[in-house]
Parts: sequence; structure tokens; C-alpha cells
Amino acid sequence: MQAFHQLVDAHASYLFGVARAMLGRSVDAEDVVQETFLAAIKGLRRFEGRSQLRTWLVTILTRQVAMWRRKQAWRREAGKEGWPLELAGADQGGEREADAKMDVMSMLERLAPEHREVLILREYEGMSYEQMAEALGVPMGTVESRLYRARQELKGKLKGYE
Amino acid sequence: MNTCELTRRVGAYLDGEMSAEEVGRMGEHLASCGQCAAERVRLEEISKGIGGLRFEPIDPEAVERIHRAVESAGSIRAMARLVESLSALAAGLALAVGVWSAMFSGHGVRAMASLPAWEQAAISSGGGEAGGATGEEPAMADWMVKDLSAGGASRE
Repeated sequence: MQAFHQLVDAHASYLFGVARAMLGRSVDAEDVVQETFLAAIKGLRRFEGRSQLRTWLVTILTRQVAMWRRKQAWRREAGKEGWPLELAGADQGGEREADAKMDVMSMLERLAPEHREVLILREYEGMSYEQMAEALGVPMGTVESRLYRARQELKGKLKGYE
Repeated sequence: MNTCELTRRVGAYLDGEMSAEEVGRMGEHLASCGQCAAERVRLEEISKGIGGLRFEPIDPEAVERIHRAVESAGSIRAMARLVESLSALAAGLALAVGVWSAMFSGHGVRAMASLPAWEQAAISSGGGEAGGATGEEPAMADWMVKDLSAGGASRE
């Protein structure tokens, strides 16, 4: 049990970041992260070590996000409520780089949830298509096409912002 | 302007999701296709932007809540496993006691003693079959007559 507490301390913040990026609200992200760890306790024996532990936890979190959305009857317009601007270390790289990051963040929140999801898993978590397919429960071909559409949507929004 | 059909696969190329052969062909194509080359640059910017995002760390109070929830879940699972083990142990003991009782207890002897004499004789002699044990039939018949007579006398 002590080992599991160490797991929480080691990964809670990272999982929170991924959940925040997917869901947009800290309170929702905290709930999903808690459910993720509880699900991980139950499934720890099934962890075969084929992937890194963090990637395995992100896979569980992705499914918890999907379950949360079904429960909450997720609306596409939720992004219009806006994220609190909680950038940590916004001065890293200077004001110009911070502006660029704010652009990406603000555009991410306006994407369709499934597009935001694949971009976070690919670009933030660094998952392979195979890992994403497992996390999302879709074929690898769907992952690739969804990523393509997500990137096109984000490109379009960033272009309109410029 | 028509979109190059390979533009759709620039993402997979950057993501390292192509075979070595496909990588070679795409590499050559990117050197000659302005559209795909521009797509590559744009996707690299997006990747850098998202990959560089940093979020505020999780609230320490939220982490404490997670620890408590994990502890509680762990205790419940341990208790469930203990109950399961005890139930299995109890079932095993009940089975062992039942087998022991059937094999070694005096129940059969006590039950025998409560039967009427003629029935005990019948059981002991193996009577109940036509043409039963020899030599014991007269004794059984004697018991039967005496027992029935006693019963008849009591009824009168």
C-alpha cells in the first residue's frame, strides 16, 4: 500500500495536467485523477510492464475521461466558459513564447473534445498510435485520421487568430 | 490549389509511425513538394506548442484526498480478501467435520439401539431379502412373534 501512495505522489500532478488539458476545469480534472488511481489499484495486477507506468496510468485516465464525459453529458460549448489562465512559469522563454503558448492553449480549448484528446495524448504525453488506439478503444487507422483532422482544425483556428 | 495527397501523411511521418521505406519516400517528397514541406513546418510548430504546455500543479489538498481514497479502497479490498479466505476456511472445516462424523462417530450404533428388537435382528442378520442368512431366521421369527404379541396385548 505504501508503494501505491508513492505512485500517487509521483504521478498525480502529471495526470492532473493531462486531465486539465482534456477537460478544461481543475475540479473536474481532480475528480478524474482520483478515479484513475482507484481504477489503477484494481487493475495493478494486470499491468504487464509492456509500457511505462505513466503511460499505463494515462491510458486509464483517458478511459476515465470518456466515462466522465458520458456521465456529465459533455457539451462542445463547454470551452466557451474558458479556462482559468493558470500557466505556471509563464515567463519561461520570454513574453513572446508565453504569448504563443497562450494561443495554443486558448485554441485547444475550442477544439472538439475528441480532437483535443488525441492532440494531448500525442503531443503532450508522447503516446504512439498503438498506445493511443488502446487508450481510446479505436483502431490505429482511426487514430491517424483523427489526429489529421485535429491538427487541421487547430491549424485553422490558429490561422484565424493571427 | 489542389492539396497534395501526401499532405495527410506528413503527421504520421513526423510521429515516427511510418515504415523505413515510407520514411525514405516521404523524405524525398518533402524535398520537392512545397505544400507538404509547409505542412511539416506547421505541424512541428503545433507539436512544440502543445508539448511545451505547463499546467499549474495539482492542489496539495486534492492529492491528500486521493491518498485517503486510495487508503480506503485498499482497506476495503484487504477486508474483502480476508472475508473470502475465512469463508473458504469455514467451508473446508465444515466439510472435514462432516466427513469425520460420518466415518468415526457412534451415531450409527446409537441409532441402531433405538430400533425395535425385531428390526435390529433383521438388520444384523441381513434379513429383508428372500432366503436370507441361514440359522438366524428362526431367531428373527421368534422376535417378531413376541414383539407383535406384546403389541397386540397392549392394544386389547
